[in-house]
Amino acid sequence: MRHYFILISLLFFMSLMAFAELKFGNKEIEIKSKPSDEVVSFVFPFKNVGKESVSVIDVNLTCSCLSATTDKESYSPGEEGYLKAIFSIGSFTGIQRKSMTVISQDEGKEKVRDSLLAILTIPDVVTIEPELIKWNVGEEPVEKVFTFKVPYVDPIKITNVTCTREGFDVSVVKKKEGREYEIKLKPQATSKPMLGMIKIETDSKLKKYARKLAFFSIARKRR
Amino acid sequence: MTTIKQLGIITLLSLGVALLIYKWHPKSPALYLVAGHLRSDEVILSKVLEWEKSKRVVWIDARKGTDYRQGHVKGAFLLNEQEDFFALLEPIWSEIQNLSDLPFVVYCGSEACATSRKVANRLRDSIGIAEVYILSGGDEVLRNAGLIN
Repeated sequence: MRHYFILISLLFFMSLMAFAELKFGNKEIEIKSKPSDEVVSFVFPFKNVGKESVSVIDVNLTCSCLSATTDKESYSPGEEGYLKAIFSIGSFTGIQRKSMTVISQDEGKEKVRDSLLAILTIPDVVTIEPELIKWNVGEEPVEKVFTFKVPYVDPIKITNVTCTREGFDVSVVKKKEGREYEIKLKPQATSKPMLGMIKIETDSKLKKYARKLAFFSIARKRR
Repeated sequence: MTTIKQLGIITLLSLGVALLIYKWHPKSPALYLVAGHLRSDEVILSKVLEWEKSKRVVWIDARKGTDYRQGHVKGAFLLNEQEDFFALLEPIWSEIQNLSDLPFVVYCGSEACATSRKVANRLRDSIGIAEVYILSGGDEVLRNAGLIN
């Protein structure tokens, strides 16, 4: 039993010596973005702990929302560097976990792959529930409601609401100024299928929240 | 030594049971990507081209804006997640809202691109478009067919 343990330990340490040339301080970074952020940078520092120069050949990304570069292409023994990954927030919300793989190589040796993970928490500034209001063709044209809420610290007021379709009654009910509103929508008829959009304008100074969209549809029943 | 033997027997037994379940389970998944094996919301290019003979198809380009501007399927709309989806949607909405009865086909930059599926889900669940498909093979099959120059 003891011999097996020594053998396994030896193989484990040999594999570490053979492959762990770039040593990352942290392979997983978690950041919480601000509401005004459009991009967020993740910096992964590392050090070449091997005895040869190491070149970073490529960084494989799992999302087109990411771009990543290292500060140099090649690192001498003992040299420190970093990989900077930039996350474009776009329309992402909630917690986003995006992985990337750094491919590096010593001269004449096998390629080494290091997996890194960027975790971004994007705060909810405005929520609209439901995302989509639906009627079926021929259904009674009853009123349905979007609830607009502001869970973030700074309040946001609705200043105007418009509908891209004619034939709909739209009204806004203030439940709590700057915090919660109801947007009521009632079709005059549901005789034909259509899509529509509600444009909600607000007093937010942040461009991303100055205008929010909500959607509705009158759809044929699917078999 | 006895412990190792026992572990080996347990591992072999587990593997045996797993293989038996895999062999006879009615919903056992493929162990690798099978050519031509499509998910229910995926479509191959030849099928889309067949549709286009009888009706219009709405093409959605889910790649980055820079790729879209370099070349895209004629008439395709740009909608992706990494730029602001809704900011991209708003200026084209007056056209999109009148096309909801047509099939929407989303493509992105590679076979395994997850962006297409995310955009397709948004179109279906947040916007209310009934018929949304993901093009199998991504933009490569479109380039090969000369539909993206």
